[in-house]
Amino acid sequence: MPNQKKDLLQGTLDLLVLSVLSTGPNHGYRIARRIELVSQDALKVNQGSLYPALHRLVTKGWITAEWGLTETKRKARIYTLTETGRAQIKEEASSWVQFSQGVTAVLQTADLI
Amino acid sequence: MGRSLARRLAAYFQSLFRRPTKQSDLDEEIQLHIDELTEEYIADGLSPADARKAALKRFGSVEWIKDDTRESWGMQRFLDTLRDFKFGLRLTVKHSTSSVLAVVVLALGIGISTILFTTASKLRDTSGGGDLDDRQFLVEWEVGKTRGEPISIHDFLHLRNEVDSIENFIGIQGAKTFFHLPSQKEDGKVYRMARTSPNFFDLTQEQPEYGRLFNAQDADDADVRPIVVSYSVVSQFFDSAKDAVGTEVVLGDQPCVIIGAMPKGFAFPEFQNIWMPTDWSEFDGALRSESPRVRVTGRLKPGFIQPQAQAELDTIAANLATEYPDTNENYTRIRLSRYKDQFIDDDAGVIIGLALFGSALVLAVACANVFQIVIARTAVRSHELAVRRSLGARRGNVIWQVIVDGLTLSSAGALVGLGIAAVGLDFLSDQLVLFEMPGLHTFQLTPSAIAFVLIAATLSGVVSSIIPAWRASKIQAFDILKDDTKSSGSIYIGWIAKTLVVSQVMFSTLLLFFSMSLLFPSFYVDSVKLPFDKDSLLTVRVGLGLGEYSGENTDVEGLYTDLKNAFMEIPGVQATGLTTAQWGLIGENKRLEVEGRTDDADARLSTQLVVASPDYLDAFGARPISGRALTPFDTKDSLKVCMVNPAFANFHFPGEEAIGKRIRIKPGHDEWITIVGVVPEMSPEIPTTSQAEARMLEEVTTVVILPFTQRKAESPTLLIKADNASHSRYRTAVREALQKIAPKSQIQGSILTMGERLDIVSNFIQSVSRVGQYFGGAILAMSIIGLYSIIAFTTSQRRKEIGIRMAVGSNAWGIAKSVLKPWFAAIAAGLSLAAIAYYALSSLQYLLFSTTDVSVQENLQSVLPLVIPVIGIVIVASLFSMALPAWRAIKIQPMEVIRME
Repeated sequence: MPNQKKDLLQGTLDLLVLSVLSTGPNHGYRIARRIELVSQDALKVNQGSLYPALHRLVTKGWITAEWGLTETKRKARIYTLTETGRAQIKEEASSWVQFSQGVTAVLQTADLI
Repeated sequence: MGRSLARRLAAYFQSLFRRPTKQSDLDEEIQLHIDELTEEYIADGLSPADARKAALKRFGSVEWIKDDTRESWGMQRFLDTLRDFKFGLRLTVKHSTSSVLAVVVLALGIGISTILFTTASKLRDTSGGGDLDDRQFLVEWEVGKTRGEPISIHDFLHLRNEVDSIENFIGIQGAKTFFHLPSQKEDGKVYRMARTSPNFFDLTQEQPEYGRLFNAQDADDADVRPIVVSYSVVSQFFDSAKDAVGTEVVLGDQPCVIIGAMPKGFAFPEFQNIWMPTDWSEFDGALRSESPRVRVTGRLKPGFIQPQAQAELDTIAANLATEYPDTNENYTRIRLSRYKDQFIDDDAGVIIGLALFGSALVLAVACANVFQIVIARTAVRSHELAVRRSLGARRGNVIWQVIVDGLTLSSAGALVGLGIAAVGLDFLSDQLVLFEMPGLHTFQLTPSAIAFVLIAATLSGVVSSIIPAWRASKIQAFDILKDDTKSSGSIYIGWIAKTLVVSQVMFSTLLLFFSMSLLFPSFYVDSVKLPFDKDSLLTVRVGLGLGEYSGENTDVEGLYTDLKNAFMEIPGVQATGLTTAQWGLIGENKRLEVEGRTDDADARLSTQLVVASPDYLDAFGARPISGRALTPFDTKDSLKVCMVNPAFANFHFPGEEAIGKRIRIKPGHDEWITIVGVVPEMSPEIPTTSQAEARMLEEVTTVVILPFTQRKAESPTLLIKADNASHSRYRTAVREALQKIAPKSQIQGSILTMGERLDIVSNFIQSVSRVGQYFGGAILAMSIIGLYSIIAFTTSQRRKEIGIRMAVGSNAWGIAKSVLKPWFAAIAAGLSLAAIAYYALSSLQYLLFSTTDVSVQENLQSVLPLVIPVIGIVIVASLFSMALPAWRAIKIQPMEVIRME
């Protein structure tokens, strides 16, 4: 069960990262802040847990990483979505919607929402 | 899918080569992230220090995140393991003393247990040099619940043709034959041979050292028959196997040619030295009633199970019984048993069990010792491990690191242990090479032994480090910083360490009892004194071949009379005798019934039965103590008589006159035999350590001597008393006399004086004793190293305390006492438990093998002579192990220790 939870969270984080990068290249700190901002702190986790997800996505070839400069002119690793990654977002988003609709349906049936 | 896999693989390999860059990239990236967060908090109004603290908290555990990230690079676990092993190796070099100690202990443990395992496997799986298949069965008639009878050649051939469920039928007929080179008959020798089906060698898959094995054509009746010979034959008659192959030789009167020579140690299935192929066609047309019996074996065909084969064989057996009632009426069921099991008797089973138990015990002792050493090494590393934990290393990583340390040590131990096992097995083979023990000449490292070493090394590495690893993973940096002395002590596992010392001392002492028991017979053999001149008595065991005897008499009595006359003509010969006793002394064990003593206990008593000629005592230069000796007037038809030895008389008739008493050899069947004389003891006196042992021995050394006119004497031993009997002229003369008078008689073994035979036994016992000495020495070394490690470690943990004690005025004796005292109790407990276990085993031995009751006091008397010296040795070894740590403790400089803190 804990493993399943971990997998679920990992999958979700991957989707969130890909979504943020679909709006343009960014570095780790900015990606984390963006997720917090957009989700209105609902998905507030340790920011460091973003890095395993970023490196996993690089290994999968869905994003690339290169050293560059931030808007404040500091050296940073900039992550960019690849074409494969862009195609993958659609698949991941569709799975997520399907999943969340399923969960919502169950909760509605039980009159919990 | 394919592309994705290819990309991942590429990433794995990339990660192998780009790892350091990636690592520094990650470090820099994380640092940047934390800096940005810090600046954000500063902008919110926090002080730089608080901002930094808050940033780290929001980021999460840096080490965990790095670990998780590294895992996504691929090959992480493999690389981590490599890194851990590299670190383990560095530790091994850094802590060289404890590394050497651990490797020595493990090498000895793994080496000895591999030797024991290989010995057990060899005994279990082989006989006569061949490994036998589990689907190979012995096929025989079933008679009674536990016994089988060989099958006649006619029935064997019938089964071979009719049975569907069994293939590769092989018939084996044992025989003895006189082997010699053409025109050199006088130098010939009698050997055991096997006439077999041509596919005989398929059983063992053993290949010849030189030449070839049989093929189907070899079974045809040829004028010159092909044979395969053993290493013994080659070494006796030829310079090499190459010289032997192709040579024409003679077996009895049959010309043969050697087509193959088997490697050293091969004597399958029962001490055979010569193998001759046959298709049994010579029995075509012979009467069924005259058909000889052969051992039959066959392999279960693939797809069949034993009950199917059993049902099929039983049907065929029932049909044969109906068809041939004259010969097969009583044989209606076939008995199938694994052929391999024929070579493992109860004794071998006990030896196999003991060897495997000993192997596990030695490994356990080694593990206990290495456990102590790994605790000490881990304690030294407790600072480093605690810092790793506080920096975020996972508990599993710390555990794995300590286990890898254990595995690094055990891998090195396994390598050296493999060498020890190879040398030890060579040594064992050398010790046994002199003796006729088929299949046990060539102990060597087999793939299964190497697999055993790998498993033993992994097990001992993990077992000896798992608890130290668990404890190490629980160390908190807080404890370390709070109190330096306690921190390393926190790894120390008090009761487990003491339990291990107790069990280690107990197991080592038990193993030493075992090795010492191998030494004892050698002390005995050196001091053995026979009640006659052993160098003036020549002994030769002979298969008489009475049917072919060319003299007027056709019984043993007549043949012996002719032989005696011939022997007495040899200058220097003073007397002769004939007996069935091996070496002229050791009779056949038989149960007997004493008249008037019908209770069960007496009915179970056994005695050594010796059949002898009337002049038997003359050959030893002995006379009856009371009554009379056997005489030529004790004939087949006269009163059945016997002589007994004093042990028999004392055991059965204590305080009474034995002469005139009557016994029966097979209770309820044979005629009563009257005791007419008591002869002096011929066998050497066996020293005993207790009354119980003496009683046990008395029972097994009772002897009854019967005249050869009243009981069969097949393959007797001829005794020739002569001056300087070891001179070769006697052997030549005896051989010539036998050749002349009984040309078909076969000399079994060699013609040797009693002194020469004792020397052979003495050499064997000395070899066993040497094995015991090395075994005991190795166990003792392991024990000393293990004890030294733990005492040295605990002493080093108490440096500060010892320093303070000395500073406040404690003297050297007080310090030494405080260092050693905790271990005295553990060692004493281990020794006591070992002594109790040995006493219990010894009681079990009396319970199983003796019919007499043995009191606690008597049993104690018998175990003490072994227990006391062994315990003494262990105590001295323990004191030796303690000496150096105690010396170091009293040399501690208080100022140095306090300054260190």
